[in-house]
Amino acid sequence: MALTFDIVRDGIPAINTAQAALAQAQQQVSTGRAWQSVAADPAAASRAVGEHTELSVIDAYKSTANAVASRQSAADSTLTDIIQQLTSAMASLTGAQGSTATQATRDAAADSLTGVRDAIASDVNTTYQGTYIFSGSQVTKAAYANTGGVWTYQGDNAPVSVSINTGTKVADTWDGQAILQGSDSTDLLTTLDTLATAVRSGDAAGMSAGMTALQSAFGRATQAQDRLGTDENSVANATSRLTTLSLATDTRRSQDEDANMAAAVSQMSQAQTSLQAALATVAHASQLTLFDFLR
Amino acid sequence: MPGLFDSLSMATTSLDAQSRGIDVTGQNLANVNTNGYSRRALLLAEAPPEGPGGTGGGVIVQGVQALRDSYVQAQLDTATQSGAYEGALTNQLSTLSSALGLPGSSLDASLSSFFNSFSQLSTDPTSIVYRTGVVAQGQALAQSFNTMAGNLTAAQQSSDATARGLVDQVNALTTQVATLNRQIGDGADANVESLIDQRQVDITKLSSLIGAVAVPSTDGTIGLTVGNGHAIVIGTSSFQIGVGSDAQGLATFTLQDVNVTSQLTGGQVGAMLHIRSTLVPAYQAQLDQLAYNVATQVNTLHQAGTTLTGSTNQAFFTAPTGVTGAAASLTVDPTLAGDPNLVAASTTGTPGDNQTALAIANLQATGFVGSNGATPSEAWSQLVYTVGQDTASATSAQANQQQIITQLTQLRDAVSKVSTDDEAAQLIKYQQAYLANARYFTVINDTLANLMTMVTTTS
Repeated sequence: MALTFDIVRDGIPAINTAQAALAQAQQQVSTGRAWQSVAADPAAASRAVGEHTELSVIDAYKSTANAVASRQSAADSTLTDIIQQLTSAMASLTGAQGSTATQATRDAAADSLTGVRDAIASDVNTTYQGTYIFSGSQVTKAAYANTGGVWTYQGDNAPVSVSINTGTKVADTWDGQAILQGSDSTDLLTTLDTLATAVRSGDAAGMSAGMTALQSAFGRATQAQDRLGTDENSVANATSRLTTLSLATDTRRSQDEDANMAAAVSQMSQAQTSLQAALATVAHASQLTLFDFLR
Repeated sequence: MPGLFDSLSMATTSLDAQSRGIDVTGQNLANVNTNGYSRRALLLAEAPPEGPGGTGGGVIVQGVQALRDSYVQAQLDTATQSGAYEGALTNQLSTLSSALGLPGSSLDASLSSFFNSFSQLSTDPTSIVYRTGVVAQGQALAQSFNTMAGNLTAAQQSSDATARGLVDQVNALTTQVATLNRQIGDGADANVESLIDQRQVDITKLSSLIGAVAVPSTDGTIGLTVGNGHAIVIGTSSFQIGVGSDAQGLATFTLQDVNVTSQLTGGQVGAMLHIRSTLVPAYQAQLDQLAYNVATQVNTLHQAGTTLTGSTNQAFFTAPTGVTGAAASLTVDPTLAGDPNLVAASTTGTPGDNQTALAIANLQATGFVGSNGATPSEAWSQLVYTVGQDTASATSAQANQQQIITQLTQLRDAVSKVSTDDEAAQLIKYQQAYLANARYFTVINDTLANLMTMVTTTS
């Protein structure tokens, strides 16, 4: 029984196998991917689906975090202005109180308080990208409106929150009434109107009550800014965590999907050698037969 | 003791025999590349002496034999049918695997983009841009499901059409085998060995096509069976496989009015039917389950929410009628598709409320698909793994089977295949023998001539 080398039966499959190995290695080197079809490594492909989804979710959270950070920045700036306005109002009121204050002083203080009211009304009705940020979930309505000299809160007490990470939510809009009124009987804008009248008329009791209300509002505004600061830190921390998580997930994805370039280049070289050997073997085998030696 | 004339006659017979040997070698060399040709060997035997003390009558040609190993051939046929099965499975599944796309750029990406669009909407539920984005991503997701379902249906139809075509070839070959059986059985055709070679080629093709099992008979014919022993060839009769269609339009196969579709499990036809009837329906069921659960879960939350126009009970997707076919028929509700304000982001009805949008976005990380409660991404990765693993298994099995086929082919070829080296040696052998016999003839002839000269001189 003679086992012979047959060009078609043995040579061509050997060439095909070497060519396939070379093509695979070349594909890995040229694309940077370890495989081109899920059938090449089903387990890695299955894991990669999860990793891509996780990366996508992380990107979405980061995008949300960036959006809410901008909104928080706008809110923070607004609250800073409200606090400054309240500080200015208290200073004006202090100047208008006491026996040394003249009518002119009180009128000036009253005008200043009216200006503060207007500034705070403007602040609390701040919009960001077309929506009101201090109206709770009533984002299409201004927080406070003055109808016939009466200030009315048009928002609600349900600030909107967004998810910036799994299980982590931060406020995206704020309850303007909680800042300008809280548990007081009247809101800050009405208080400022009343206070301006009291100052103008030299109503000491009214001015004293107004000062208490301003101090209370100041406390609520600073408290709101503190909470906002905490949320801003949460967003910054979450963004940092998401970046770390994204890197870790991408590393896992890379391990599953990306070619090991050093190994791929080495395999390409090996496959090239194998192909050359297979081609040479077939070429050599086709040259040698016993007929070559018959004379 | 034979006389000189007998010796001359013996030399002539020997020259004829060696000449036949050269002819056989020539025939082998001529068919060195003929598919299915079995190498021929000249059978020589000693012509026995006519009486006691005789030296023998030279050589006689007993015949020309085709060299075959029926055991190895039977093993090779079995391996060929397995190899053909795995090969067909690999080819079809490889196409299907490619159609699934790569992670991060296939249905998984559409699912992520869809749920993330709700996440984006939650940051500003009144934004018409984000609302339009949600509708667009919903349409893209539905389109991805439709395309994927279409790919699976195309794979099923392609397998079905291939099986039909292969059965046509099977029917043609069985007729041919029955005809060859008759010619071989008659023994009338002098070229029986060629007919046997031809028949073996056909049988190998039938093994590859449909996993036909050869059943040799004592009369020289070979019967062929498929499935649970259903005959497609008995002696000189062949039985055609009938092709019909079931309610779904898929092919059914009958043999003598018996439905043998489920019994055709071998060869390329078996592979095509396995893909068509088992694998693709299982993949379709997984995809449909995912589409159905996504559509119904999103709809449940969406219908409980309030749109920007203040309405409720607005479906996001057209409600699927059932799990079967859910992926192929998934569409965004046409009313909603025409008015992004009908996207429900709110639970309370206030414009800025984003609870419904957040709830739908959170579905991405919620296990609600299938009986094992997988997340949408997990459900898709399970399908990817299943298809990938089926393809990889078939590829591996094919490679293993190919090794076996190669080894068995080498064994068969060692017996049956023409080797140019062997034939060169045979040629030298017969040429040398011919020259020797010719020389012997010359010696006898010279001896006779000398004898005749002596007789002439003496007389």
